[in-house]
Amino acid sequence: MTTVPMRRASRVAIPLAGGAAVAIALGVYGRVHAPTGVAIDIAGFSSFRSVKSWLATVALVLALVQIVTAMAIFGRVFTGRRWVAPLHRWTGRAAVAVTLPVVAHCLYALGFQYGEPRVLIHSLLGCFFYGAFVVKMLALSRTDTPGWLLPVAGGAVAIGIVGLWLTSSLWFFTTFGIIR
Amino acid sequence: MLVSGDEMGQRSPLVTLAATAVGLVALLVVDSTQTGTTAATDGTVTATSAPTTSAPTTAPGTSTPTDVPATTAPPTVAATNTPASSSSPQPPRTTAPTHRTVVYVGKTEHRQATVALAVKGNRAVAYVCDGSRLEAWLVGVIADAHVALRSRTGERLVATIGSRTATGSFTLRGRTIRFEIGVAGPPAGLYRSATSGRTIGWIVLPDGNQVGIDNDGTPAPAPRLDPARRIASVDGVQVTAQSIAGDETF
Repeated sequence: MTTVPMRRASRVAIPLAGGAAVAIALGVYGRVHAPTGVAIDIAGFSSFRSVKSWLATVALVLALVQIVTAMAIFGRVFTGRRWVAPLHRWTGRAAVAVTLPVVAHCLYALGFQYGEPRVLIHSLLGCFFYGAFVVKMLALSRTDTPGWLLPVAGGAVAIGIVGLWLTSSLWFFTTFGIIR
Repeated sequence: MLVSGDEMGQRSPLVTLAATAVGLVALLVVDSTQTGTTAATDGTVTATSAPTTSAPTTAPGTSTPTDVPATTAPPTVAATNTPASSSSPQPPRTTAPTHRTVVYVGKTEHRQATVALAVKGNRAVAYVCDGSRLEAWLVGVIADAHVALRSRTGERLVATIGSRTATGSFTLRGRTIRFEIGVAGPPAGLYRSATSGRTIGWIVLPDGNQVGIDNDGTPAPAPRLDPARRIASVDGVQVTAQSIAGDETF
């Protein structure tokens, strides 16, 4: 093994390893930590589950902006606009920020569960989403990553958030109604 | 964030990553103060998700793994926040859900009915009634904090139980009714009397009020129960009620 192939492999392997480590760590934490079931009440909402559903919906809308701006960055739509990159960056940060209270509550109050398919898929996707997010951030912070890695990681993050929304917020709204 | 305009440095995503990790740890710590438990296990999350220093010092383009979060280093972020941070995962707490015995009672969202949910170990019993005509006895099991119960006539009740409240919904004749009910101690709780051809259910609320249905084939409001002695008088005949703990089947 010479250093060149090693270096080439590490361009992809290091971001992927970082993401995989985070995904696994979140899953392990979710299983090891005894779920408390306790939620912090937020004024104006009937329950923390509705808070989570609405926050996740905000994240989903921001994720749709992310997809469009990512296409613009890669020259598919809105080519050459100066506002595209900052918009992509900040909607991305905002999207991850609004998911944080949701994931904190999921991990702390509920944990990683697999009692029914919807819940299992949701738990797996939650770990996958943050893993993919870490891969994308690590890939962005390096200049030597292959060109395909960033769109793949970004696509994985987008798929993750859509899947998470479908298995939680959509379920909540269809089960309990569109309520605050 | 330290980034402005179109210029995105190599560090910007790492700062984003670090801020995300700090935010998650902070929220978990806030959660732990809510529940009065230490957040020592939070270190297992952050040890891998946060760059252990706020900004890596490697030059852009180098592929040394030093700008990758160290998976073994103790999380400096958590160490500043958590009371007793350790980077090794703790075994699950001994307050395992298998030993709990708790009863939740309360009204449904629009006060159409009253709900009692008795939980013992991984089993649960719920009783829903409006005190005049509608009632349902539901039994089932618990997975973690999720209760899924069913009645003999096919009504379903789902709930998530916490240390203070249980939140959920049940379907009655095609309608979904939501509830959020709280933990209640004796004499509040769920009581039942079953004799041949007659079943009576009572929910005693924390304020002492009670709701129940006497069903001998035709549901009717239940006679008053003396919760202390668990005795009620039905048509002049004394019946004894059983306090429902949550592991009964019927």
